[in-house]
Amino acid sequence: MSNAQPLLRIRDLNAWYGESHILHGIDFEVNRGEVVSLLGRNGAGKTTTLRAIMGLVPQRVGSIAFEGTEIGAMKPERIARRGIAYCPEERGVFASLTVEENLMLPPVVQDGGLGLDEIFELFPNLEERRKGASGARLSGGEQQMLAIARILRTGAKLLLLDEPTEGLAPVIVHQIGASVERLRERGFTILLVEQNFHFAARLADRHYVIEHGRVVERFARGDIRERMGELYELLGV
Amino acid sequence: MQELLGIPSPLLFGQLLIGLINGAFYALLSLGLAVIFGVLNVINFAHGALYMMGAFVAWLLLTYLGIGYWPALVVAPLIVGAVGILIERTMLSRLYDLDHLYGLLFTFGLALIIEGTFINFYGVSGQPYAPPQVLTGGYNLGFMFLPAYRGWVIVASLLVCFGTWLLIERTRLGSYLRAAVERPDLVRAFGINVPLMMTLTYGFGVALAGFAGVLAAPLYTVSPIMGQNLIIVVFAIVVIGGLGSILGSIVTGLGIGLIEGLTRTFYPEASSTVVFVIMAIVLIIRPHGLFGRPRE
Ligand SMILES: Nc1ncnc2c1ncn2[C@@H]1O[C@H](COP(=O)(O)OP(=O)(O)OP(=O)(O)O)[C@@H](O)[C@H]1O
Ligand SMILES: [Mg+2]
Repeated sequence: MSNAQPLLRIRDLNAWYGESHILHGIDFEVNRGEVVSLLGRNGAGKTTTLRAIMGLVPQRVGSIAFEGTEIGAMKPERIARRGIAYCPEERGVFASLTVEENLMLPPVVQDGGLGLDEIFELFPNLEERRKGASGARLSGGEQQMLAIARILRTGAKLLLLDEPTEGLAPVIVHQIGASVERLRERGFTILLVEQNFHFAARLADRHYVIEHGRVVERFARGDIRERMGELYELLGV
Repeated sequence: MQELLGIPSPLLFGQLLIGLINGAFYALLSLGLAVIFGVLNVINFAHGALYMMGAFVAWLLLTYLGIGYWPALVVAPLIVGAVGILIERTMLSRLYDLDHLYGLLFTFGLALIIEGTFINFYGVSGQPYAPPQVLTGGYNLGFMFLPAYRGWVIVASLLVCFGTWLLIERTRLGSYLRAAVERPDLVRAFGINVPLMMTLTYGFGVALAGFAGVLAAPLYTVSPIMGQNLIIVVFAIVVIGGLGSILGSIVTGLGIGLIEGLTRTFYPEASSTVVFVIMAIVLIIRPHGLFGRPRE
């Protein structure tokens, strides 16, 4: 079995919203079992990159290979069924669905997803809120947990998490960090978009910095300490 | 003779019954419109024409193939639904990326074409369609006489409305639909084929109209223009109930039918305008409708 082939390999990805050219040739890869972060300032194109991988940006060109198969021209539903799952920045918890319906919404696409008992072990708060009448009644932190939890059932191997800590209290951020750690141990591959650099630094094996729709720098976990200054400058922290 | 509020009670109950029957049709039709609008974001102006098509298909099945009411009650909605699926796949789905107005104008034009075609072949005078044998009699309820077929129309449409509500609010498929109303992109990103769901939803929504058409065939004459008058009122009801609300469209449909019935009893001159008066009041007080949620 060859591990040389990355799970996700992106080459020269360009994307547009109408007339505006947002991604200008993104290149990066994610290996099996890794946690990789995409860092960058507001509007750099991180969310657009995740949406393009998911097939949600209609105007895109370039190569997106998942497990060696080109998925760059596929429709979102087909991409999802190959084993990629997406947790959007705005969380996308459905107000017209109960908490349980939200949790059970994404269909199982492959074997090997988490069972409900494992999910509730990761996110005990969700078990308490399970009978809730509407996803919209949950707190921000609970909504974030729900948005992550529901994609763990599906058997997807690659999780795209867009700013899972945005706007959350430190204690919740900590809990989500612990969950991501557990998911890595469980064998998930995770592509994490973050503004919270300290959160990403603790979890990710490698980091890519995106600026104006290009990958401008890459850091391995070990580099971070000595290249801190450089990184802070890029991120404008 | 018994009287209620100065009105002979058989007259009052008779009018309420007619109101309830009209309400049953309003509910079926506005329910279809609400489902279609929710999932496709299309205001389906062809709804009245497809209701008429349902009645006509029942009449054609009987006249040319000898297929009676009961099979037609299933077959005609299926045929209308299939026509809807064809319309959505070949034409309507091409308009989703454009402004909503295109969908509205398209379905409006489609209604004219469908009705024009039927008028061309069958004229506007209308064809009679007899109710099935078992439903020809009636029941004396003591306070009024209930023709069996009218009772059946109320029961059948309530069952179908309730079944649709259950399907949408209480099943897994329904949770896909509700989620797709909120965030179709995200639902697709979970691996659910939303474009297919939109096609089937349009087919289902117009099949409801076709079903209403078959129910209506024995009550009114089957004519190419039977949908025109009805659909205006149904659109007013959709505005009153709030676009996109499933329960709202059912309750409002029945309620407006009853209010029309009462108006016909107590102030007949206003019976055909009362729905528009209510619509105007609702628009002033609650522009997003009684059951609708304001849109951002
Ligand atoms: N739907 C859209 N239509 C037009 N332009 C958009 C759209 N979504 C994003 N953009 C623009 O694309 C650029 C990249 O946006 P994107 O959301 O990918 O940034 P980001 O890196 O995720 O930023 P943030 O950290 O604020 O979430 C921004 O300039 C943004 O204004
Ligand atoms: Mg973003």
